Amino acid sequence: MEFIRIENLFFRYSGTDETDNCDARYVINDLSLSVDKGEFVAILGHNGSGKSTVAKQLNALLMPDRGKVYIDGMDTSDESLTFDIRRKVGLVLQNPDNQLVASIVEEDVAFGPENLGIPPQEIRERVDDALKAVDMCDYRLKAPYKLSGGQKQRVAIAGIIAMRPDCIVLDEPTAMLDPKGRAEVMETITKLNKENGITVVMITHYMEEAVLADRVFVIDKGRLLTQGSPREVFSQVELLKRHRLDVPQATELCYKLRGCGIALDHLPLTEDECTEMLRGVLL
Amino acid sequence: MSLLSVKDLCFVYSQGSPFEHTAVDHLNMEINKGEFIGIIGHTGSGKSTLVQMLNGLLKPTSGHVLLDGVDIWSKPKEIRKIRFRVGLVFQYPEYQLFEETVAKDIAFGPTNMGLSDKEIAERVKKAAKFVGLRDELLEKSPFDLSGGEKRRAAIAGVLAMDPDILILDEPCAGLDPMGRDLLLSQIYHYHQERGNTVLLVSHSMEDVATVCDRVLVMNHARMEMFDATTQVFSRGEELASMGLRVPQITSIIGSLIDSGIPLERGLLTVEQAVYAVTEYLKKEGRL
Repeated sequence: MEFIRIENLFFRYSGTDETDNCDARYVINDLSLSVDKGEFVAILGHNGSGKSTVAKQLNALLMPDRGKVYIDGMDTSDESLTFDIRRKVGLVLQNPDNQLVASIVEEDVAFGPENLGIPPQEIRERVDDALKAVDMCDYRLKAPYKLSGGQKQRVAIAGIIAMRPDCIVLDEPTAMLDPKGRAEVMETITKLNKENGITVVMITHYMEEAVLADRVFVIDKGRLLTQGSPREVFSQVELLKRHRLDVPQATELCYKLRGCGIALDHLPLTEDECTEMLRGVLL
Repeated sequence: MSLLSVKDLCFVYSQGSPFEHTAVDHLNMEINKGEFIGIIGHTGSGKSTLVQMLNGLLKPTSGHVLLDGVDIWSKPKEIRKIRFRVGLVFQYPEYQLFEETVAKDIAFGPTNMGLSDKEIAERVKKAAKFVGLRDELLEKSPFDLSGGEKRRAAIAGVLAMDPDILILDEPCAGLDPMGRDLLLSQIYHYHQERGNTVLLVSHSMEDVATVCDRVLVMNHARMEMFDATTQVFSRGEELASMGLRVPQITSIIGSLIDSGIPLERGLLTVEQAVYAVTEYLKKEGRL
């Protein structure tokens, strides 16, 4: 079932082009895509490609200039639906320090449900569930500033989960984290998708993370450049490189070896797959 | 004599309070002129505290930072001069731009050094060229630039002071893959051409593996390793126990070696791996 539907979306930030109105100034330029309920999709694109603008369109922080964005059938440009939409779609941003508001972890997680007017008893329940979902129960009484980057980001995600959204949109959630923090956050996101059935839209610059998604969208100049399973998308090595993107090192290694005349029938996505393939060739 | 050396360096935040926290614990190391050093470590391992002591932004709780053999705090009133010699680019430096034009922003450092107008103008031009900022951008407001251009402008501001030691804290965070590669290669070429010393703090093992001669590993306020890049990345399990990892390529080659294929250990880049694999197959007469 379709959960997100973007139809011929055009968007530009006001004030950037009062003098001329050529279409090139549109940050989003005739973009259409859809995401099914329960899907995990990754959005790739170079800096300035319009990825973050798309993220903000998904919970009605921004609204289309032309075209439509529907969340579970609700039109985001209908202001009477804004709050319903934000209840369904939670947004997690890059810097965890900008998203935590309270001085105790569990109070921070409770901030969202409190604002939704949920009864205290249920807030307690939701906070506990959310902290469990991101595996941060042991830290519920700690101060957020004492946590590591990965832990802070998981608390930020718990704050969204506690609002019981159907969908989480994450805008480069791991950009500021160390390798361990990155792995923790990715594990949490994958678990929420697989076990709790939450629809995930993740924007990232790390190709190794995009590989974990069911489907990958590549955006360039506010348009959809290509989409498909990670395997379909990452087999287009040339196309991605031409658009300032990359492929995982495992994929690149095999792509280059193929160029040297080594017969490989497909390109691997992960480290293990690559090792397995090369073992076959070398042993 | 090494260019920069650190002796028994310690830094304790909020000493004597219940929040006392040791960020750098008895650190000793030496860095030579012209080296390209990577600094890795988990969040909170003390990397940022360490680099802030190296340019005198933080005063050590105990121990010494020696530049050319002289303690940088021997004349506290002249600490500013140290900051001209040891340039520090913070994380997300684009938030520090403040001037009316990009050129003026880059000129801020050299102006404070008391250089002549002519020399300042030359330095601004050179620094902008190193980071690949086009001339027409120099007269724009820094706030009209794209994110990547702002980052470059901020780095140029430090390069314009022509520091003997350039320290960059996560310069590539948040850039797209090509922006990352480009900025890294510009920093590398700057280092090659100027022959200066560069310290790169990064969470990207791939970036560190590509450009650094030696790697310093911080773990819970202590220096755990400080060795040649290949050496450090051949200790994958230890790195993993510190919340770090090796580049994907190093790990793939490592597993191949473990299954009995005689390749060289500690390969760091895709190019090196391609070469090693094809050479092996040629030697075996299979390519």
